[in-house]
Amino acid sequence: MWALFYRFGQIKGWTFNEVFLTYGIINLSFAMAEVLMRGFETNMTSLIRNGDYDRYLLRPRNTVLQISAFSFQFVRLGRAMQSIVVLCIGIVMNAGSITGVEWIILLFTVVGGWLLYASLYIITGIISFKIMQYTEFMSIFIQGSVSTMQYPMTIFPAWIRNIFTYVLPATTVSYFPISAILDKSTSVPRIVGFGAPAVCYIFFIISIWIFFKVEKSYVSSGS
Amino acid sequence: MLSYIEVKGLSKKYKVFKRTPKKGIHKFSSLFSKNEFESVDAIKNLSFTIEKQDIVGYIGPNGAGKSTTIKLLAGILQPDSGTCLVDGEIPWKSRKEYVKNIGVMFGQRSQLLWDLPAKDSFEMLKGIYKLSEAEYNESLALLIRMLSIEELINTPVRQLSLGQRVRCELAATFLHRPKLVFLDEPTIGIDIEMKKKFHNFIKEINEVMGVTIFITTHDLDDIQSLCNKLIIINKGEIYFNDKIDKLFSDYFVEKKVYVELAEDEELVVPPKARINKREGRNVVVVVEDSGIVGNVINSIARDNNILNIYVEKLDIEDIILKIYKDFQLQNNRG
Repeated sequence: MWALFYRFGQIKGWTFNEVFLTYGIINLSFAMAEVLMRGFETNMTSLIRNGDYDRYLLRPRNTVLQISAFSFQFVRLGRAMQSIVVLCIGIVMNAGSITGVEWIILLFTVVGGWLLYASLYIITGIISFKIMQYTEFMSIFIQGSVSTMQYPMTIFPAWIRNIFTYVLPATTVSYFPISAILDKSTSVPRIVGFGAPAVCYIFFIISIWIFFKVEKSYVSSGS
Repeated sequence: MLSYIEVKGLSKKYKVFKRTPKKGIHKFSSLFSKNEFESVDAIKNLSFTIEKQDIVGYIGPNGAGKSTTIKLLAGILQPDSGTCLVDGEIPWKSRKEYVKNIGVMFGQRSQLLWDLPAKDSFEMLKGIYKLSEAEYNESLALLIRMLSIEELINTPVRQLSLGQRVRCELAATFLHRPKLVFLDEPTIGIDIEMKKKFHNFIKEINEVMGVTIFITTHDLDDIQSLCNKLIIINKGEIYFNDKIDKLFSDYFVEKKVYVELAEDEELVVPPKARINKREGRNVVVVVEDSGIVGNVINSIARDNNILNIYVEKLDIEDIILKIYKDFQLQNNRG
């Protein structure tokens, strides 16, 4: 990334220092979601196919919590650490614009991002219920949005921007709030940028709700 | 008054993927056509009641709907129609509340953590079921004593033999003092001595905890030594539902009387009995009416010069086998 900026200086009005923020936020949210929710992607299929999901349903606890807890990924904490470092550098470099309320927005954004990726994993789980197969194609959205959203959205063509805004609300936790924090001009008023991560909170709630709906249609495999 | 478990008109269908054989180009084009599904009744219109502290045997041929019934009663599945009340609660409503009071053991799947000692799994269950320190210690001490697993619980589960593991599984199932326990083929693959221990344990725990136990099994030994009630199902429908004694009187097959003659001569049998098989001096006599077995033996002993005579012990296996054969005939006709 550094090499990229060294050559071009800045991208469409974004400086090297400022991109640290989007990069840090997206990677931190993704890494934390991976630590906690990876089980929905990797374990879900085998849980359902082997009928081991029965056991989760037989315990008097939340199933989402159980899936998450039984496949907790310590290894992924490494990525989280790395992105925390990047984010801290980003904050230091942009210390001028981050005062008071911006701190809260930043936290709001990171949690929003985490919820966004958590929702994506949950959606993977939902699809597993339906087709009982490993859903490789979900990685396109998960990995794809991570590698695109760590850079400011303006560098991408419009159709990519639209996908990651309206289909998958990834820009709401990177481009819009960061622009608002840095007080850059975008297509929307600054206050909308601050509030944008809220979309991900709603997205998460809907995902969980659908998950529990679909869970009811679970047909255990024979034994 | 309501029974402990009330099942009324319970039905559940499931879809089976159907594949029709195709030839040539159709083999390829079928990749893109819509899959065909067939709807099969796992159970249909099932009704029965179970009283508190019963030990119920639930048997039927493979694919009769046994596991489906357990899963419905345990609240994992939802039925298509019908109702079911367990202690006044509907299992599949408010799952988290309901499953606190039930325990399920699948003989073919483990609920213990494979790489850790059973003790750690118990600790985990303590957390999951939110047991207090006192409750946990009391239950665990009781189960350790009853199952004699003192030495086993600190060994990683993967290093235990099947018999040892089953005992740990049982402890895990009863740890939270459930009111209702489902055992799905609990004795699959374990030896005779272990099985006897298992029977004793189930009888004892049934007394001590007052727990209602629901067993599905293919092992008729389990049924005969444990259950006070038997339900036989076939193709999702109840075939028999009563006490075990009733099974013997309802489905009296025939009684075999084994006679050993002192000399090589014809055996004289009274009317209503017939000679089934003869090998040298050993003769098998069949009696088709249970009421006259005594008379038949008397007259054989009187009319013949015999060395030895004994009646075959009535075996639940023969009866069940006969019932299963009837099922097959029905299926073939249907």
